Amino acid sequence: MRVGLTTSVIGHALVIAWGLVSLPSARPFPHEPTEALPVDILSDAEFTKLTKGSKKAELRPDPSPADKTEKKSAPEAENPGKHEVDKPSPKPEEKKVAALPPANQPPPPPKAVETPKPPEPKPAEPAPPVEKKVEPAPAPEKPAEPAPTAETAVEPLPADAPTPRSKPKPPKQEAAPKPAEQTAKPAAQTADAKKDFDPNDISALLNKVDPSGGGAKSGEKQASLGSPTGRAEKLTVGELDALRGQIARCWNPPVGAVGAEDLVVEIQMQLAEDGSLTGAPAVVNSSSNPFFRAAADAALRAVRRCAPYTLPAAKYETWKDVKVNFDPRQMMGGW
Amino acid sequence: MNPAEVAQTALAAPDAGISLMSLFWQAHIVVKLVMIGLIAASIWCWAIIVDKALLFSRLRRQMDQFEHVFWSGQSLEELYRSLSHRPTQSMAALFVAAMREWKRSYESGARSPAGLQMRIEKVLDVTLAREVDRLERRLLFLGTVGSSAPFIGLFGTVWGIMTSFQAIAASKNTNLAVVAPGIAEALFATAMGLLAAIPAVIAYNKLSSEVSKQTLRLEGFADEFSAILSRQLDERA
Repeated sequence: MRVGLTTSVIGHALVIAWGLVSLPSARPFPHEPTEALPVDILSDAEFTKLTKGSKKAELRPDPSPADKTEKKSAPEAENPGKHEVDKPSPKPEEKKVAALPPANQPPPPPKAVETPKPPEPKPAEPAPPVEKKVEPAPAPEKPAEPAPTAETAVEPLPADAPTPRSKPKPPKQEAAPKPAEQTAKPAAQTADAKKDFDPNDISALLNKVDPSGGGAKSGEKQASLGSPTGRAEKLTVGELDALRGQIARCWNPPVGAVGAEDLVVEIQMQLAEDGSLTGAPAVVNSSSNPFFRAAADAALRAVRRCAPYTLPAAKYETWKDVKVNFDPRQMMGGW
Repeated sequence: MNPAEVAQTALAAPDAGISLMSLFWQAHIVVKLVMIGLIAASIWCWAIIVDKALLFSRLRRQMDQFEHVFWSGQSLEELYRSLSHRPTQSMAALFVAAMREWKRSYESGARSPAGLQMRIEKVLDVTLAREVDRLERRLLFLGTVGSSAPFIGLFGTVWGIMTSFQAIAASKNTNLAVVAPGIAEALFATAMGLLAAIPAVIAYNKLSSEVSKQTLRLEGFADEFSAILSRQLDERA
């Protein structure tokens, strides 16, 4: 027995020693430390109030959507026809110039001087009307043309075609070349225009330059904090509940009808700003259930009866046209 | 919470101890006792296993030797004389016991062959029983450890998990890094239980089959020897 016991004790000691040596080296699982994701919890109301913007921008009181083209738009401003509103480029002056010169030809040289100097930011729109008026009279622009400046070209145009649409543009077109003045093309065109002085030609010219009908850009406001798909203008859940409650008050759900789950009536209604109905509410869906007709009528009645609804006027756009579900099991609003 | 902090706490907790020793020392006292008991059982089991293995191999050798000598045609008297002065085992013990009874009967002058035959049978039976008992001794311990050690280890595990859950409840933190060490040390108890039980079960099965084999062999020898003695009695009578 002693042999066995000794052997056993020695064996166990060896095993335990081996365990002490080798088991502590249990390797930790290879895993990359994961970065914690910052999570914000939004309430329903907060979610619906998300404004459109960029996620990384800072919060601004006066939000404007993220617009990455803004930066580009600044250099582009030199293009003719773009940014009428934003960039009151030299055009206005020229128009003026154009308007003025017809009266007295000598001015042309001064014009040339004027154009290079930084234009005062005069709105483009006001100018055209003036031109129109003035131009019809100055038929004798050609004589004025001797001035080698591009503006001379302008003058002929107005004379020929006193139509208001085309006019505003010509000045622009030429305005652009002017500030640049080095650009050969516009100069050449204008030269041609002078020589031929064909109204058709001119209109063709105009058409070429015309295309850039740049709309007014929203200013250079910086993007503010918000979600790219945010709408901001949305009824919050609380407001939805309010509307739901208002309608439910007047609604007598069809009692005892068979297959109540088929009796969901969807009604579309248009509301005026004061909350009253404009036009007749319409049943949007249909069902084969024989009771559906009655249910639909009940729903229509309810909508009409409660007619002036009190809803936040500021969000009129969102509830101007609203769909409401009348579910006999549980009335739910939805849009 | 700061992400960096989270990562740090998650990484820092595990090295509180995974080593075998720290697993043992961190354990609850009951779990510790269970582990110590299991280690002791395992040591004792292996002691028995080694002992029995040695015993059986020795016995087999002795039996072979003895049978070889016994059936070699050597005189039984001489054989008895050579064996009787030292302690004997198994077959030799049977032979010596039977021969001693035979000699005593003749020396005391008892002449009834039937009585002598009966006494010799009795002596053989008793010696056989003693020998088998010696073979079987402590085997039962192996069987007991084999069947109960997993339960004992499981008890330690359940106890350890219980206490570690209590600790979790107290610390109000369910982070896996907090839970894991307690469960690891609890499972350690089951591991030790299995470690003790598996060899015990295997050895018990092996050794008990060995015991029955040797018992059969001894019985066979006893029957044969009693037949020889009975023939001798008849011849002398």
